[in-house]
Amino acid sequence: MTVKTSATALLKFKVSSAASYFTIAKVRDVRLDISRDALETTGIGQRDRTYAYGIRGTSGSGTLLYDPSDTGTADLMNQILSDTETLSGLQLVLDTGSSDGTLSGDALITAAGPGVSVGDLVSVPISFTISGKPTGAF
Amino acid sequence: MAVTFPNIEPTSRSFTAPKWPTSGLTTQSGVTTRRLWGSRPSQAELRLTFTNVADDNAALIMAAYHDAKGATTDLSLPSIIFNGASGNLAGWLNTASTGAGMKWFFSEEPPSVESVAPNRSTVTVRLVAELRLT
Repeated sequence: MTVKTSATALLKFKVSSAASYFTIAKVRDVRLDISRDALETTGIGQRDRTYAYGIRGTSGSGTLLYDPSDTGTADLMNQILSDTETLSGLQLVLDTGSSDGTLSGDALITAAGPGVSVGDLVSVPISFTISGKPTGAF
Repeated sequence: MAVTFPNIEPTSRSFTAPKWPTSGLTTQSGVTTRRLWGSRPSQAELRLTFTNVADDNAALIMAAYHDAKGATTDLSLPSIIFNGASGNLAGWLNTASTGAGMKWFFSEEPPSVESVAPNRSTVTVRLVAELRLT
């Protein structure tokens, strides 16, 4: 087993009505943050803080390169303009050569802010929040 | 027979000392006179918070409240309730230093349980120490 690089990673997206995920063609960077709350349980007689697990939350962000002909990119960007309340699907694949390292979830696209500078590519920073527990495993 | 309060360490504790039975009068000249009507203080108050405890521990507190029939039956408080206090202070907090006759009861205000996460709750309890004949 070797350490994986961005060459084996993919970001996929599907609108709620789609049957399958579309790979987003050009992704500059993406980050998935999964966290669990730490609930403090320190008693009044203790000198060191103690904790218990609380609720898990999953969100993330990334930067896409704008390609209107790419279904995954366009669908994801258009989701921020959609009035639908149905959640989309987002899938992060860390290793295309293995069934491990794929995490999927029902996603809310919470931000998409395309921007461009002189002499640069049109990039689209995005943010998303996963509703519920992500499926899959690292 | 006293109901034993569950052996759970609170995460915060607030104590109000018992009051002495007095009445006072301030005259027009500004002089205050105060009269003591009894030999023992009463009505101490203990507010306990059990933050993020396991639901099973929250259930033990609710069971004690049920067994005590609210504010009817007195409570036996375990020493863990006064954890973190020095021995001298604990004596005042548990009213042992105040003198005989004071007993702890649930107050008229029932315990409250706030569910904060699966299997985790925050329980708030208010106890009062009273002088009772039985």
